Amino acid sequence: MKFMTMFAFCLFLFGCKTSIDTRLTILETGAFVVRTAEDGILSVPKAEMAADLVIDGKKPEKSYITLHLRKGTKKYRPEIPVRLPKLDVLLGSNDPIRLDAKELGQDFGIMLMREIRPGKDLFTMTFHDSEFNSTIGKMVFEYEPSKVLFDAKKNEFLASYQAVKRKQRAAVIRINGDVDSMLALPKKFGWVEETLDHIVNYGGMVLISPWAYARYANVSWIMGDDNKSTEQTDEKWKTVAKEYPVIDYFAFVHSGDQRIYSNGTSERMTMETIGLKKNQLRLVYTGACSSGSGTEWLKGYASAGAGGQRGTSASPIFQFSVLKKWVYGFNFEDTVVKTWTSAVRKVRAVEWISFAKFWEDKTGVLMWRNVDDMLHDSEILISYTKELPASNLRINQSAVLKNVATDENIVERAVNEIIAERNGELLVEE
Amino acid sequence: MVIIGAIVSWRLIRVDHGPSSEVELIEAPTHSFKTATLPFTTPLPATTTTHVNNEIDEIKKEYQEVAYSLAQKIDKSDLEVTLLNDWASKLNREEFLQKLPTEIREGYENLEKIILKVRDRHLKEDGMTESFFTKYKIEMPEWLQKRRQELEAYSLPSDVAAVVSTKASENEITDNDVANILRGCGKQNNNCIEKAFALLIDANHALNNDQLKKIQEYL
Repeated sequence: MKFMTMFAFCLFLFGCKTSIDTRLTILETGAFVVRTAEDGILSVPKAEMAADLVIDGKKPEKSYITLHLRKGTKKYRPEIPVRLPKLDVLLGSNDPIRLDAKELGQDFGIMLMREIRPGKDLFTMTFHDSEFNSTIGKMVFEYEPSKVLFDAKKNEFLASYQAVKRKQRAAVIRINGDVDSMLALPKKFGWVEETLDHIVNYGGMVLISPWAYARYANVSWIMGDDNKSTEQTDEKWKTVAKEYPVIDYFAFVHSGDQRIYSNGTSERMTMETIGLKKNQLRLVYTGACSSGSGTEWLKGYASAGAGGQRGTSASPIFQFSVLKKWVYGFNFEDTVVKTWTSAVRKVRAVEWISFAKFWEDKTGVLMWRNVDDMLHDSEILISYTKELPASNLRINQSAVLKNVATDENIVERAVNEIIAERNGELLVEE
Repeated sequence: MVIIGAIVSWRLIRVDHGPSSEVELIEAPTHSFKTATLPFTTPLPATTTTHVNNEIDEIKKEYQEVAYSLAQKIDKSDLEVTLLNDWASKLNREEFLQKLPTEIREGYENLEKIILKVRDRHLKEDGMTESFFTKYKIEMPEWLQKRRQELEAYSLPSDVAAVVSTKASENEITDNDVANILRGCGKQNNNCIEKAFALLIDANHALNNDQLKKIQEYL
């Protein structure tokens, strides 16, 4: 009894800490500069070293990483404080977790991936610069998270059951065109054009696959001619709608092909004919020219968010990046802002003449007078409802269940407008 | 007591650090450190834009050659592009490749090799590593599985079953539908309530927080 009291007291006094032994690999000397618990600055050398990830059970924001270093012959164990989420949230999530520098209280970001295995799961924690533009290092460890993610005693079977079921999300990915500019083919062999289109589409699918399967329990592909000829498109949509509670739709296609028609080209399919529930379609993004902000998906299919292009768009330069950033865990607004900022930087760095030549080779025609014209026409537009702003919409989240897609409730934004607002620029009232 | 407390309150999960667990920290030079083995994509080296552009141009050139060669092989064969699209989107990679004649299969495999290079460039650009590509899996906690199985054995009253069956195929569950099912089951009839709504969740409906709260009041 005495021991039990003492144990409880000690537990109260110290909280419960979990220390996980890991190995940390730093890729470049001078890249991993951290703030230590003593408020010192430490530049961690390029090496593979032992480290302890210590997660404070009571105050997870007081967690830290201890490095096994030595100064000369003496042991040196600097502690790097990191504000982490609770243990079960951090190591119990099926989704990769991204922790920004601000959240961590350091000048680096972390991404944590979990590979579910029999017994202990394998975790890979990668360290990045604060903008997530480069990888600084990685830490690998094994851990067996608690099996019970929900409290059965609270009698919350339905809420828990729904929460787990809704993690079974799916993506429909439609490809008919150049997904990525690196896989574009010049149109100089007209005699095999149809075959080359197939190869480009196949290549796009191979390229996208690892990103898609990393975050979706199922991916349904619709490729090339499938867009226009058979009933398979209908069947694919119906199957996905029947089997998965949360669906995202990405269409890397030409103008108009993003829409869902029964028998390929006849009547446009409705929520009812597909069998979609009101809360099921979550995000729609298409690189199709003149697809606009995608309000048709909110109004007609009750999606929570949508995005598309203003006009004749150079989508292969950036559309794949939208999918990548979304699966990396950025919210939808950050996804399009980061994609667009990087695309503009890239396009402006390339001399217009060489870009124009590349585009003419690829498509046989150049649609823009200059780089500004191209950027204007290619601008990403997004839409969402007031209940769930794009800044709150993320891949690991369920769609908002009570959204009302009326004209007054839908917000439409152009990516340049969001960037200007973030930069504190003055905008002219329309 | 403090010492005992400190010992018992730490749950240590041990994994061997393995050899060379300590790294010497010195200010300079850095060449004395053990060279790290990197089983994953390394970050972008400090190269010039020209260097990167040349690398991209090389990949593009290689890709175009392989793509044209494959296109010619497909064109000479009896394979229809519509059929290839159909197979590629329906089958997994191995099944797809098995359907192809050897020469064409090799063409696809060569194409995939170059796409791997494109993939690596994207990973580098994004500051990411291959470890991100873990296949997404979902685990249903055991107690939820058990409870769902228990509910299988329970038969809903016919009137409730009829409502659930109709609503399952509709595209929305309204507050009135929730109230209707609760009334049909009656207060504290947990098996009936949980089975009815579990069936609707299985049909991909989602209950909002207000609806879940109302159901909770009936349990």
